Amino acid sequence: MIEVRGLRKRYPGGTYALRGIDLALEEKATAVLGRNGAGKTTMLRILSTQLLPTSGHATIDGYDVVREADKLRKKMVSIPQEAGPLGYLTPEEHIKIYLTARGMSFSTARQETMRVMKEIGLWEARNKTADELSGGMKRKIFVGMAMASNAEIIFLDEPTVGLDPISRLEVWSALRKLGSKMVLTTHYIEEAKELTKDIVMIDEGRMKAHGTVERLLRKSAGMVRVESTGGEKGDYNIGGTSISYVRAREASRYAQSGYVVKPVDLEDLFIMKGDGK
Amino acid sequence: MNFRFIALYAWTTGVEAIKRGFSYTLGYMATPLALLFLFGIISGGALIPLAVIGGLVSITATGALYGLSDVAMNRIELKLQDLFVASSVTVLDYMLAISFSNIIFSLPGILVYIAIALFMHLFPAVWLIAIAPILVLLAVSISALALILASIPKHLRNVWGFLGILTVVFTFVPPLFYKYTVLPAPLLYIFMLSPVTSAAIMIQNMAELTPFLWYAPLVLIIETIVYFIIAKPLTQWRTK
Repeated sequence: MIEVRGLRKRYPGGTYALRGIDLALEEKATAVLGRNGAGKTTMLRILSTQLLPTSGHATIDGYDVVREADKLRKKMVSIPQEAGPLGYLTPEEHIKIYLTARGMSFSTARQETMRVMKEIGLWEARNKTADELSGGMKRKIFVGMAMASNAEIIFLDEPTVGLDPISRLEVWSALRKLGSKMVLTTHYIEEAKELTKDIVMIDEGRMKAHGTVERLLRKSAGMVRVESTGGEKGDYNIGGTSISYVRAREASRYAQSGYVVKPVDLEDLFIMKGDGK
Repeated sequence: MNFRFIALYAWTTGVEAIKRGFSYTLGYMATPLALLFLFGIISGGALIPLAVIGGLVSITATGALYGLSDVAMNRIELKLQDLFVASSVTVLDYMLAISFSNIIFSLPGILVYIAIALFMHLFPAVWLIAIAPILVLLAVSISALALILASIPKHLRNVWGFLGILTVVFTFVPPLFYKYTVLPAPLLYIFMLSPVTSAAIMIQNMAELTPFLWYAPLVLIIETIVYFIIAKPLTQWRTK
């Protein structure tokens, strides 16, 4: 279980990335959703012992992320946002180096590397250098590291950012094979729904919502989203698009006036809880 | 200490980097070899022994200095340092892995210079027993300095400029390609802050090009230990 109490992070330049986060994560997979700069990466980096918090506490399975980082590092894997492989090394070499970094013997590292490369479709590319691989295949190297490590908890920061739709599907397929507890950050709502049931939404360093997709959407049951690019003012005006949330029974009236009517989804919780107004 | 990681990282990134990018290895050798040629022409051959020893030390130091760009690349661009921070690897393991990777990567150049030195009978082959640890200490101490310095730049672009300055400061200004005896004592002491100075002086001593300086080995050992110790707290490992 991951417990976070009053977690704050202020960077040396004075920027507040986290302004007091409290949460408890008990599910097998959780997605931390938020816009760019919401504080997702900062939170993940603190939880995965890469960054020190300014104040507050976080524990994973009872271990403090600051004081007991060494113990935690044996239990977890953290794949940083936009991590890139060394262009002149092969996927096999990358995974083996990472596994020895985690303390595995050469023979176990070799066995696990071979097993995982077959499992996630890296086998054919095992002797190619990373420079010769597509973006999706490069990302799979890191997913392979996580899988081969057999860690109890895996942190993934924006695992598919910048990937094309096919590569994204390939990475999702690999991630679904992870048997460990997984916490991932993303700003892709589809990704969060595809890979997890538990969603944490943060914005401007504060937690805005936490729960299953169904639970989060329950609050807006009976509502629909109506949007227009015709210049009308809505409850939320983002760029040239005005968005309002109205009762479902009013939908037909808006539709007749040229508005586009959509069911409320997680994206809308983002808009309602963000500063789109 | 995670010896398996140190060995595998050093071997893979050292040997495979040579095999898959030999032009880079040749690039390390280009400047010292050009200086060797230039010294030979200008001095009618008289300065060639100094240029060979300078080249040997310079190629080892340059290899280690380039560790700075590896560390900065791993931290800023590839985020591989974050990956290692959140594993069982310590900053010490990482530092040694980078050091040995650079030693391996510099080996072709080192071997070329040792072959030239032996061919010219600059020192007997048995002296290699002493020269090898000098070069290892040099590579480790410079790598420790490189690791500290790699924590400073926020942008990778600044690393290249930084590296250009450091290469000149570390490999051209100190007495690598000239005799340390021409330096006034205060200047020599300042240059001694760089491990290349004591390393070059010791090898110049072995080749009987300069008088024996008793404290040079001591300075190199102390510097290696000190730089290694201060690298741990000064390196940006777990970010604050």
